[in-house]
Amino acid sequence: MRAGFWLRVNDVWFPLDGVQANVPVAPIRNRSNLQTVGGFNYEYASRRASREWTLDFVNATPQAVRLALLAANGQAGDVWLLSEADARANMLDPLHTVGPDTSSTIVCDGLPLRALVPGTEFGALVRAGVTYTLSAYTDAAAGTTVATYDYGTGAVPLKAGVGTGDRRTVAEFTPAADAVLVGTTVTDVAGVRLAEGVDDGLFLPGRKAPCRAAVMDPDQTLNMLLDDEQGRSAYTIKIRETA
Amino acid sequence: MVEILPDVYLELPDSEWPPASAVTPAGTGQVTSWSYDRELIGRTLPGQVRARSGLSIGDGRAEIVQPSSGKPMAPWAVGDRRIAVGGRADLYATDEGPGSDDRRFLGAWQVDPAQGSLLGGSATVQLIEAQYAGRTQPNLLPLYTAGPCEPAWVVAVLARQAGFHNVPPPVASCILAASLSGSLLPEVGGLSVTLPPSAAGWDRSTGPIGPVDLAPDALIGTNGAVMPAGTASWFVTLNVAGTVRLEFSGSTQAPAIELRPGGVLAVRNKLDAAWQTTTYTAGESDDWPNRVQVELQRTGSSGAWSSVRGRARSGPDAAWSSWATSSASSEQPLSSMKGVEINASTGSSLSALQITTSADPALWAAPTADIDPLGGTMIAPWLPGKMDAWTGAQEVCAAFCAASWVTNDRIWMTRGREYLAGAVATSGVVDVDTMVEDLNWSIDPDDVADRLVVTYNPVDVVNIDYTAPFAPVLWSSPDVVVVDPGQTVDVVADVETHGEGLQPWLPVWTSLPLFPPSSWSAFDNREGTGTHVADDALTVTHRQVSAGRTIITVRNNTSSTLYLVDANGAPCLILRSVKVSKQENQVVITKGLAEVDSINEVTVDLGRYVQTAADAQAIADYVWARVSTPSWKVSRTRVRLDWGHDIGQVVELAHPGSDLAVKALIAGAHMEGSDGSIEQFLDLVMLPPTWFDFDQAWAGRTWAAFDALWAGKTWPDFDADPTKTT
Repeated sequence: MRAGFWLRVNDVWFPLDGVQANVPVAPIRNRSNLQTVGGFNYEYASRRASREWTLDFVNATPQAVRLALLAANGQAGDVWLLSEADARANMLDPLHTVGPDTSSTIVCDGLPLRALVPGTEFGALVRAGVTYTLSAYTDAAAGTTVATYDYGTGAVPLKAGVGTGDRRTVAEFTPAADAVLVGTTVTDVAGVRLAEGVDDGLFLPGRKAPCRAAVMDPDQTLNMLLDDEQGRSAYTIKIRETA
Repeated sequence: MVEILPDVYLELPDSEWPPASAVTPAGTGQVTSWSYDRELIGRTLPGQVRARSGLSIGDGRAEIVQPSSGKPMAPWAVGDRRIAVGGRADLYATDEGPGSDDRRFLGAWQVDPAQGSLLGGSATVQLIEAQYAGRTQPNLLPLYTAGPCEPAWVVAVLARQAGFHNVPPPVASCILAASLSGSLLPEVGGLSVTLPPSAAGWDRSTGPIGPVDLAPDALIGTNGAVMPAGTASWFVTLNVAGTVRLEFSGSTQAPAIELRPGGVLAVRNKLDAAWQTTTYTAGESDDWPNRVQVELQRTGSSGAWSSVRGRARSGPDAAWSSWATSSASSEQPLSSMKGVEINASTGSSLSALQITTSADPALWAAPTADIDPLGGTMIAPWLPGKMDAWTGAQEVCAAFCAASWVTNDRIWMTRGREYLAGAVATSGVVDVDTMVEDLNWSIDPDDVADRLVVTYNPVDVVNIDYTAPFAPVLWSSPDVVVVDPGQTVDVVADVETHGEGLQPWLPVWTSLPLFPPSSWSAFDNREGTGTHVADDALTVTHRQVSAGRTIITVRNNTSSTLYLVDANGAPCLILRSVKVSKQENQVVITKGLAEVDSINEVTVDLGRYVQTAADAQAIADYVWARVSTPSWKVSRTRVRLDWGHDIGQVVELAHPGSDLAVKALIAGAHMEGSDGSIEQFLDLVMLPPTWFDFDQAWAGRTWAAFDALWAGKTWPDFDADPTKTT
């Protein structure tokens, strides 16, 4: 299996090869509740759920996991984790894909979703040579600039397509260099999505990928040590999303 | 449904720390956990009514995360990582990130102590409400000499000192500013003593407090500026309700303007000229719907001022009306136009008046204080000289059973006792079944009194008597003042009474029988033996910094050390005034049982702030109505999160299952939050029904409706008070 995880160390992306299948991803979202005299229950939750990935390596050499070891030692600087599965779904922070309850609704891929407040900024780290699709839904007149985005080569308008009513607008691009994509909504749009790959016509909720990460010290089980070779161990590495 | 909670940030507007991070700009920290506690506490009142008066000063706490990289924030760090305390702080919640205007403020604060540790991931900032800034400075209550004032004026002055304004503060180009918030004393300019003004009362028909039926014309002097000729302008900005006239000085040749209902501005160049009118669109300012600005220009020259013209608008960005021009030639010279007479017709009012030489946008500064009249009269408003501004506001509010607090939205609120008694529409219903976790009620028989003793100190005015001759002593030095050769000494005189017209200084041996002066005596020895010094050995002057404090400056013009003593060696530096308002006698009002029969007596001292028999009696009745029967209260009850709840609000508390339906005052609010959790707790004080409630229930009904409702009822039903327990 190609697990598709990348670590960004000192501004350079490195693939994490050798990750075994069945990677558990555990979201952590703080919650609380209130039960009233009349038995009514109110649930409250944090705006964000941070995630924890558990990556297993079997018979891996220290070379295979050296990035994780460096990061766990705090010697890899500002570490980012990219899960390709999340990046193919929607790279944006969920808070920047759908607007507040006070906004009007726009039908996005069959779902009525609230529009973002115009001026909302969204963004993600993008990689050189990878094709991305930025999509959004709007009811603006054809040709209207509904958002702008910039991945280091100047602001590009995302314009409403032909037709009327709630509809999808799409832009595909392939950065020539690693960059930070920064976008801003201009009019009412909802269902904003930035994803790796060509357009598949879907809206999927934000997964915030890549994200800043903290790498926990790996659990290691030494399996074998052959002559003139690096030892081979089973590693379990936990990676937690951070702010 | 899950309610997604907002993020909470602490913004320090004038600070470099906390340093900028990936999600926050410099000066803003993301809060991981926080809490605050605010309640109304009055010093004056006992037991269950205490929570209805006084001035809130709450505290809070916020934990902000340390930077994810680099050196930690600490008091010894440098640059944007150095933690400094004492500055302003805004705690707010937002769904949109720290740069957004979408903020739910959680009060106005300043940073008190902060704690942290080298290994900890966060620093804890203790917060205290911003009005605490008023604790750090002596009160600057001006000496008010123009007759009675509304006690809310004292609160408004002290709130300004604490950083909250109920009217736009005087701007730089101001030549006259009068808030009119309970008194006619201008902040810039002076009051005429020859035309003592009087107002029939004070209300808020203009927005802020203003005088109603202001007559005869009150003359307020500008700071000496005169209206220029040509196209240079005067700008008159004020809040109006009804018809208000301003005459620029008092002669028949004086130009005048009149603001009338319906957005009408009238101008005339002299008394017998016809009014010329123009119309402006009123109410274009969201902050000040009753505010209007008039631009005035005058043409001509000495002896022949050919015209005056004026135009008006109702917002800083609103369009001006067309000009109204009065061309009747006036002889009024510019040099004598150093004052303005203001007049409000019957039922009319004005407030927040400024005359300026530029249309400064700050003339429209949004209010940060919302102050109601307190319902009383102060004849001689006075505070002890060393009392700080915050304590002064607290004392005055408590004495009049009023309350001041700062809302979540950072507005200073002052409300009188009628509001606190519940004579106001409720701000919402707290349905116990659906909104309250549990109702933690309590009742304490110790809060019930069978006898009430209220004391206050009426004002006894002692005037100068030129025939005696006599001038009342306002203050005399208790200590011997010593002044070294050629040196100057400032003596702080904290006067114990309200004194008007301080007399000039002369040596005690000077004969000036008709005008007893402030006096001094000095010798070159501590015992006062030998010959006193020459008349010009000392130069003594004074400046009155507040109604309770005068600074006396003594300069020694000789080459010897001088002692301010009389011939017996006693201290001799005596400040006299034309009129002293003493409050040495105490009057007692009693309610309830005789002293011998009383078991639980409550004593309330209204101090020197309640100064009239009518006010004292009204407050005694108010307090007695609230301490003579037992009542219950609700403490620290968790409710469903509602950002609209705030202390000082009157809500309806309802629980049909236990026949509970009563008005309640939110006397305390406590909130605490962390990631995924915000808990809100309220303290509630029950309010008995008032005539206001009866009027509201009666509105639109007929006697037939009353009869239908009354069917089967008896007088005990009518008298039923849901807060009573006996």
